[in-house]
Amino acid sequence: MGSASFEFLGFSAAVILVLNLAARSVLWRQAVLLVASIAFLSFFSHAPQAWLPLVAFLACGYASLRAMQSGTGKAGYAPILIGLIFAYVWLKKYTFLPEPLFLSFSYVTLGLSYVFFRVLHVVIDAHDGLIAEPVGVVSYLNYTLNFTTFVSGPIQRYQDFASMQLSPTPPPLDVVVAGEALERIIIGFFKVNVLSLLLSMLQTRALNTLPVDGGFAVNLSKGIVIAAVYPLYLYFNFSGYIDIVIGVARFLRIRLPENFNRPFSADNFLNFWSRWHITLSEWLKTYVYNPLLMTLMRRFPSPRVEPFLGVLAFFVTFFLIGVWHGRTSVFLFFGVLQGLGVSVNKLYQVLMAKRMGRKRYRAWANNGVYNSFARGLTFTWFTFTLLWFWSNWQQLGFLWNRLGFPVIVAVWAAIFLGSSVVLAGWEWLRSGVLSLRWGGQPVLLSRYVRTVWGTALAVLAVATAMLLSVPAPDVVYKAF
Amino acid sequence: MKRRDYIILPLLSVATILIMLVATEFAARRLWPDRYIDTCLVHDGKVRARFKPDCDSLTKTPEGPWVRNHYNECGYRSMTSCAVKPPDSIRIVLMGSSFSQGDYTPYEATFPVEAAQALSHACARRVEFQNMGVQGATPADVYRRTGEALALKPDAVLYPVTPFDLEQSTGPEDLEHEPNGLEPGEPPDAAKVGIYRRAGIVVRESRTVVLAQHYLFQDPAVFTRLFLAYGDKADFLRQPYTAAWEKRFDLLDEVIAHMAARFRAAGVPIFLTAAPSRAEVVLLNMHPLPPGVDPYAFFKSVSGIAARHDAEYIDLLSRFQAVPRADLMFYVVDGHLKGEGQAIVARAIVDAILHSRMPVFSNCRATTERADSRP
Repeated sequence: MGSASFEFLGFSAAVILVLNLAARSVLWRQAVLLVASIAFLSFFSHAPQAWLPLVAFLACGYASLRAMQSGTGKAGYAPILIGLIFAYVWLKKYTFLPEPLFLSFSYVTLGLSYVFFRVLHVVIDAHDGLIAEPVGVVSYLNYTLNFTTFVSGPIQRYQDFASMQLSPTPPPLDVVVAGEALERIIIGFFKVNVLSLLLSMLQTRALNTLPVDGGFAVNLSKGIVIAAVYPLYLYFNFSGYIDIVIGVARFLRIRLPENFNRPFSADNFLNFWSRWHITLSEWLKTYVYNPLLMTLMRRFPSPRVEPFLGVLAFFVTFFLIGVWHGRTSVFLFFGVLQGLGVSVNKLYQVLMAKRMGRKRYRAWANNGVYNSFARGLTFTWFTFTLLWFWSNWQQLGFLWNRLGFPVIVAVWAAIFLGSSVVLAGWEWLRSGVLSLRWGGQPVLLSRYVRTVWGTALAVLAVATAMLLSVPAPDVVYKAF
Repeated sequence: MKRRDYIILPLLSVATILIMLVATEFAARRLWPDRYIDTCLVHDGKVRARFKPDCDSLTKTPEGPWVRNHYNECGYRSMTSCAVKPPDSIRIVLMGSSFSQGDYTPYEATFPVEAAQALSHACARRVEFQNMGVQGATPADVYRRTGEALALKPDAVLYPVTPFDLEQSTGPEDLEHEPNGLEPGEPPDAAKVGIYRRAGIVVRESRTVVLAQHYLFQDPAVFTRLFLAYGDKADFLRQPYTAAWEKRFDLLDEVIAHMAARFRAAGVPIFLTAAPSRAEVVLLNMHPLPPGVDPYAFFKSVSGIAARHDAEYIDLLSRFQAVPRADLMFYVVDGHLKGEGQAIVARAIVDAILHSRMPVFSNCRATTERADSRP
């Protein structure tokens, strides 16, 4: 059952109805969410054996959490963390481990990455004394298996989840909230079922029709479509899915954290990662970047090297983001490129601030033309790194051979210039439209305009989903 | 939120949907024009409809191109004259409904034209088709034109039967009553039509609906599921037949019996074929089939009738079965064959005629065999 399918929406609607029959009862909400989450999982496999590894991983996570909370496991904190990380790497079958080590039967790994982040988070926070109340089994299972976030996040903090799920006064659900949640679901459904679907078709068609001797102009246009359409597709696919689950969860009296904040408006790569897959970036910042930087600073306690330690910590953190995405050398390289992107960006900031002085550098960075090209460069770099996300070495070799070096250079130059202009135009248009105000608020954000807009998107999304007669596109991040 | 918003917001939603529907309908009508009614079609009192002699018209289904139709001095969709058959030529009379007529298909792409060219080539003689096909003609209408067909002095007669032809029939009693006087394409009296039926007509005639169906029906599974839900219209695919369909096959049996007897008496062989519908073609490649559904049912019934009355049966179904995604050779909503499908029918007819026992084509067979045996 895809999260952007009619089936998922129907399933969610049923759960919403049942849960809200007695939404004030903590017990009822917990029971309904648990039953719904287990029912949701059962869509993916009916074989009990296929769930054993996930069950074992969850059990180890819970035992570790309780050991940290009771204080009995504090001495074994580091081995426990290493053990959990190894178990994850082993179950995900990372290719650097010898193959005979892996389990020979087929089992479900869907959602394992996100379960891993949640489990590690509760164990670390419990060790640090940040989760005061003992975590019950049902709360733990609801937190890790919540069907709205199981497949691809967002990664919510346990403390935030528990503050709503275990509260006798959960977040209210009135007409306005319901309308906003519904609007969110519609927008998400439209993004996944219309925009991402069409963009995916566009890119696939360009790939499949890349001629042997297409000539410079044809190859250039195909190359631009193949490379530049994918980040847009990925954005609409993933953020659309997030919109849907945020909307559904809100009906279930849970506020999920935002995962995207107009990422293509970012004018540097560091800023980009604070707007893209925000909950993953935050998780890594909290549990990788900060501890690593602290350790490095303790090891090299010199104010002169401190900025460069930050550069190194950024590289390691974002390298891990890349590695997390997959188990092969392609994703390793993807990680290197992510790490390079943020660390070079950080290094540039450090050096420019040193050379120009902080004030002058800030003024320089806020210049409109500079901003536009910086935005274009950020988009272009992200687009470039994604080549190692959606393809493999063989496909990259094919593209290299078909397009040729001159066309490839022209493609990236065109993407850089084009994205600089288009994104600047988009920012200008957006701010212009939002400046049209009525009754003290932007006209476009009035409930009347949003009602019209939401209805139109709903009609278009349903009509497209029905007429194209193709299954709802899967969420790309489901694979991770 | 203000109290008035509880009314305004739902109204806004409804208004948005209505505006989108109207805009879509307007755009669809501009982009997908149609002209279903053939202006050359008239009611002649004896049969349901026929075409005016020496008449030209333009027709179009929203899914297809504009088609220029020409009807000769007898009102047949043939460029060749229906006057006295030229010496040393072979004349085949084609009877039936819109399938024979080649509705919404350009003349050059219709199967009788393609078959005539192939047969002329194979026989080294002029072979012509006089196409008496008229949209909506039932077996009873075809039967009433037997004399007219014989007057053309044909060397052979071909009658393709479609499930739709039978669906428009009641049973053997159709042979006893003359058709009603309603002009083809003339809508029924609006005052006599109930509001639900009127709403149904509006929806059916909506171009938005046609557009939606066009894309929706591309998916064979969706198309089949919806088609099978039609009830009586789809019951020719179900075994055992309903009583209504049994009666319709009784009518066809009676019509073929009468026609075959008259043609046999005049020394004219008759070919019968079951024209496939898109639903049958889709079902041919569907596994497993929905319970009780038999895509071969109609073909078995028609070939059985042909065998009983000594008419030659031409198998079209196996030709379509051999082509991948043959269902795309039909106009998806309209259901008529496109040019590619017409070509398959033409090849099947040519092969069947050349391999038949008809003396008039015996030399043609020899010609093709010689041609085939060349290194």
